[in-house]
Amino acid sequence: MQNKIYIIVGHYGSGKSEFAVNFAKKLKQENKEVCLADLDIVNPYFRSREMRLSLIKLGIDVISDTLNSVKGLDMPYLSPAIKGQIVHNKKNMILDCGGDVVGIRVLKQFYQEIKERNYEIYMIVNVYRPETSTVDKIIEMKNKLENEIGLSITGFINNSNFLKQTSIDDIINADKLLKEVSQKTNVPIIYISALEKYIKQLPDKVSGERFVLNLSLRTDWL
Amino acid sequence: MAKVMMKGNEAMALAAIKGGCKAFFGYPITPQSELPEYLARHMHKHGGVFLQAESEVAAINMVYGASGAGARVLTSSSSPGIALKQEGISYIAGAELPAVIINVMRGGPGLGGIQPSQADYKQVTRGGGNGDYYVLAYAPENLQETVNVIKEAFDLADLYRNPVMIAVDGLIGQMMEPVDLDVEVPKRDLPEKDWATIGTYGKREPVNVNSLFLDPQDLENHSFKLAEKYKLMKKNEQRYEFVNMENAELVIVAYGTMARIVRSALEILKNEGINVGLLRPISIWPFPEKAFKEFPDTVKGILTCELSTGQMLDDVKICNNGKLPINFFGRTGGMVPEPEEIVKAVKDMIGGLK
Repeated sequence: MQNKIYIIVGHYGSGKSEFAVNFAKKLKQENKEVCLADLDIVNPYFRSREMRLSLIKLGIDVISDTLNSVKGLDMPYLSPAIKGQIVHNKKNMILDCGGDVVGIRVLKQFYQEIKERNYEIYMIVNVYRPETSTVDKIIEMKNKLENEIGLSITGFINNSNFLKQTSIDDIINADKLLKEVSQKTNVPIIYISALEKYIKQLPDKVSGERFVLNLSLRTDWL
Repeated sequence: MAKVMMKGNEAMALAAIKGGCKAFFGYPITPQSELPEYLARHMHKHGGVFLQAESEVAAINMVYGASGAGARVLTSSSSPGIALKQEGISYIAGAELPAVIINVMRGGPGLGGIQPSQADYKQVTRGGGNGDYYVLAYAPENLQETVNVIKEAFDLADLYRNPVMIAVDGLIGQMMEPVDLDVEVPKRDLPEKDWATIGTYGKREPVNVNSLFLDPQDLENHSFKLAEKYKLMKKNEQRYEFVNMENAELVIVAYGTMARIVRSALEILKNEGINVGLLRPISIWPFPEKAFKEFPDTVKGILTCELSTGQMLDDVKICNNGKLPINFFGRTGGMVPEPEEIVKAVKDMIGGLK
């Protein structure tokens, strides 16, 4: 079976990196070979490369820049090993992109290779971010992202939350909104991601496979 | 507007718009660049001006000009950029102009790093520019408090005709948090800006905005006048929070992100039966010296915690006036401690006191 490339895109602060790190662990638990590529060169904080050491221990490859930095590097370039992995397609790949349209501009250099392979493009949505808070705004963001990549988004991840202040109703209301987006765009909701305590309380009617999120980039005291 | 999830830099930008800011001049620098980026997209919708200047020095002088014409003005930067702006800040203070300045602090000295830091404490509270002046300075610990204080800052700047600085570390600029932008903040009774250089229309005498006083008597008079103003700020604007002070055997003094970490440490200590309080300065100039007179008698020592090698420590020493033993714990250069490291520093100090 051909390995898959999962491309994680979305608005700034929608939870892409937390999802990418958790998704890498999930694939590894399913005994799949996984390589996580951190493509975020627009913002030097809260990037998935910060989890490099703990992910490597789990047998997950992490590629970002050629210096294998964990924190603090603010240089807008990617390791050529990322293209190598995409071309050779020996592992499942997660491409964790930067936020908004500017964050996915780097994907263009891989356009041909991605197009020829088995890929998914997941758009992470937190409907409580002001710029993705309505059906129209989410669709506008989706269109902008697709125009930039030149490929269509294949699924939504509902990651709507207020962090520790989230209520179950917040998640249910977000589900209603995203369902409407899903119907209008014909793009399915793949996962609904939240902390374990919320996932346990979710009613059956909520769309998307339940995805338990363990926060790793955001420490407990924050 | 209901609660929304925002990134610190975006929330600060929107708070400025809500605070009536009509002009922004700045220059990008990590970790605050989303702030000008947000204003570039949104300022015009609120009838304001956004301009990316050619440098930090140009930006702060544009702030001087726009403020002199009576506008509510903002600039933002991060540590080395704020250092570049110091000359202009001194001129603004000297000319008694209102301005709001946001400093999203990163590691130093020099170019330093891009991770969070509180190593600008002295630059902020002692003034990096020349002359006898101070800026009113706040160091909030979460996005809601940051947003509230920025909205209030424009009134405070107009009231005192003085720069107001909001000093947060890079983590507060970069993190996500739920925030309500429409929480009411105290409003000040503000006088007319009859000093603004907006033309006489033939109806009044011309006014000057200026910080040059060549006659030493004039300059002394001006400096004494400023000093009176700073005295008033010290009297009226000290702001702080106490946490868990009842029966505390030790008080930790910490602000901003460090105070958040200390809060977690206090919980751990409480579970182990160790009672420690927190004094959290919200205004760092004026430093909350009043708070030191309110410590309960149970307090046997003070632990100062900062994301620096020890800068606020000097103010703690001044306020303590030799009364209690003081220890220091700090991480710097962009390193952020875990609560357990604070717990250890507390235990070490308590062990030493016994």
